[in-house]
Amino acid sequence: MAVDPIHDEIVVPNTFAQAILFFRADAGGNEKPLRVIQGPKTMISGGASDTDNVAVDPIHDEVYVTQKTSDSVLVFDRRANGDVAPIRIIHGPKTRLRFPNRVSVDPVNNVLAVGAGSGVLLFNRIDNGDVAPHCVIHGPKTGLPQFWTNPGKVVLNPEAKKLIASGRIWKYGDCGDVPPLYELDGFGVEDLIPDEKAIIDLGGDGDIGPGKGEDSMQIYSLPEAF
Amino acid sequence: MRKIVVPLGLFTLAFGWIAFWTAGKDGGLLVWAQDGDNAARRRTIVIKRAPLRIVEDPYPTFHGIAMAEELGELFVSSDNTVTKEGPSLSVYNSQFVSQTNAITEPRRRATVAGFGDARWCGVAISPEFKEAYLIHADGGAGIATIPMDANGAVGEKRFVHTFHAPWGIFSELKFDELFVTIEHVNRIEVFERMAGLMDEPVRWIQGPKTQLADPHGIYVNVEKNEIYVANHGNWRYTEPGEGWVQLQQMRPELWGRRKTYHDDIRPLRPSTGKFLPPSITVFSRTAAGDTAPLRVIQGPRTGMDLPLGVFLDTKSNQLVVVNGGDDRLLFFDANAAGDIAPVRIIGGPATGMAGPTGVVIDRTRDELWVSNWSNHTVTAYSRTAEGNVAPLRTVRGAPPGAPATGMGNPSAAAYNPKRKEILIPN
Repeated sequence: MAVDPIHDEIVVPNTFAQAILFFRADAGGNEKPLRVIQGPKTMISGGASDTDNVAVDPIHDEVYVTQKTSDSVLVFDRRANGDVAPIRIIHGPKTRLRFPNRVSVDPVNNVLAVGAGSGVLLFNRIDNGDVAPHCVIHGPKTGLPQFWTNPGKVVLNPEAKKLIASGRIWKYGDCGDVPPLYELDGFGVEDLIPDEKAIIDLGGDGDIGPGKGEDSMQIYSLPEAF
Repeated sequence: MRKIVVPLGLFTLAFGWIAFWTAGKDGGLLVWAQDGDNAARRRTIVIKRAPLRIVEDPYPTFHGIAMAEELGELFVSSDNTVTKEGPSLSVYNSQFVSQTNAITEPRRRATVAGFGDARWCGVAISPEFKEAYLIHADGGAGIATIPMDANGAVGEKRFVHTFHAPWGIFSELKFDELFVTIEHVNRIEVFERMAGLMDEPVRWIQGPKTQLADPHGIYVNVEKNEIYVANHGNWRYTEPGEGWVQLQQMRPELWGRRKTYHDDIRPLRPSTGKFLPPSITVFSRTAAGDTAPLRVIQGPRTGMDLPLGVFLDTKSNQLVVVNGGDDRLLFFDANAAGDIAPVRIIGGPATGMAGPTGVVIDRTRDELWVSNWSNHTVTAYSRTAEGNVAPLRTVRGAPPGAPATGMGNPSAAAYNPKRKEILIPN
């Protein structure tokens, strides 16, 4: 899911019905969504666990989803409702997208980051079609698996120009088989809490090894990298 | 003029201490050094620390439910991974007399030393063979068989993989089969009870004709040769035969023999997803393949909202549906079809239901039991109860009022800086 603090909305993917739902940020209970992107033109498709992730860019009014089964990233107008076609699609052999599982966007520095089986792929935010990523973080020195079977969210921090993936921190500009600046021992990052200088880690994010109960949330102080 | 001479060694020591202290405090100098441009010579710094705070539920979250009437025993699964014992199967005496606010001690509690993520949801039993069957939900994808009298940590008697994301299970005794719903691919799988790791379902129901849409609870009426399935209504086109097991959760013996999600590659194409009203689909017990249901209970009059567990009251021929969306039990005539209102409802604040998931009827004692995921309880009612009635008895997995986090396999949390809220999808 994703939060749009500017328009005070939350954005939730529904993988089983192949839809993107927009709710009021303070929605509760059995409340109808404000808008639903769903239908044949959307090409939200594929197999059993597609589109269980979403990112929102409230500045440029765009919403992003990755699709594992079709190795693609779909971009929609945030204000869209109903059966609408994507405004851009990143898809094709040059993209190196393989089993993309999570997408994040940095609207300040125009970075689109994808956690994929093929590593951390960084695109320009407005990339479209069969385009190569401007940067791929992948290889034995990165500490990421050769094939990342359950890619997690890539957390982007526009101010520090850092990215976090699988409990490892790189800076913008790091490309290729590059060791991370920092490695978090025993915890990962699902999102940042800037006003508390803290991070959110979930036991169930699948990134961090056993030892923690999955049905839990831990809050850690922000790593020094920020 | 006097000069102050600082020995080089002392200067190095002082500088080093300042660097260390700075790094330990806010990491400024460390960050400055680490952020240099020479990535090739970079040495990764490992950051260790304890969490500032932890949010978790130390009590069991009750999910699946089954009953051994002749023993007066309730079998209740918990999928909470952060309890002391982890996911477990607790067995309670259903006929306890003294109702207190204390935690109800089970007669026994079993945990299973298996493989991968254990996250038990559905549970069924076979008193004849003295076995319990636990659904290894989500990624674990399978049925673990353990002895019905298991206590403490036990190994699996058998394990058979289903496709990814099973939920409901029914143990059909006459023909000795296990029926399982698969949420992600709108499918019912039927296994021989003795199926083992290398076995596949003897038949399955799946495809666009089935109207299966995010199926959950399942009950098999062997007298009428019918299957009742509760559907949430999230629908997309599924190919007959579509499905897979998560690679990291697949037992090694099956590597290369079963499809994983990495084999599920498709071109971009028009989307098929849509929201259908929640439903009960009824199939022939022997249905197989892409088969239309015999009848469907569906529509606004039904009041269904996130239907979960389903059970047949054979005395009244009423189908009991756990309505997870509004904490109610809906009763329908088992022969009903179409958009019909429930013949009876149990619901309201007095019932103590919160996030109900499973239901079972004790025909011997005319009682009806409900497992409540959101308040650590299992609540009993008269089989014929109606309206806003208080439970006859309550099995407590936690002190009354103990908060439940509601976290179940959480992922992809997001922080809302405007409202200072953390949102967690489950």
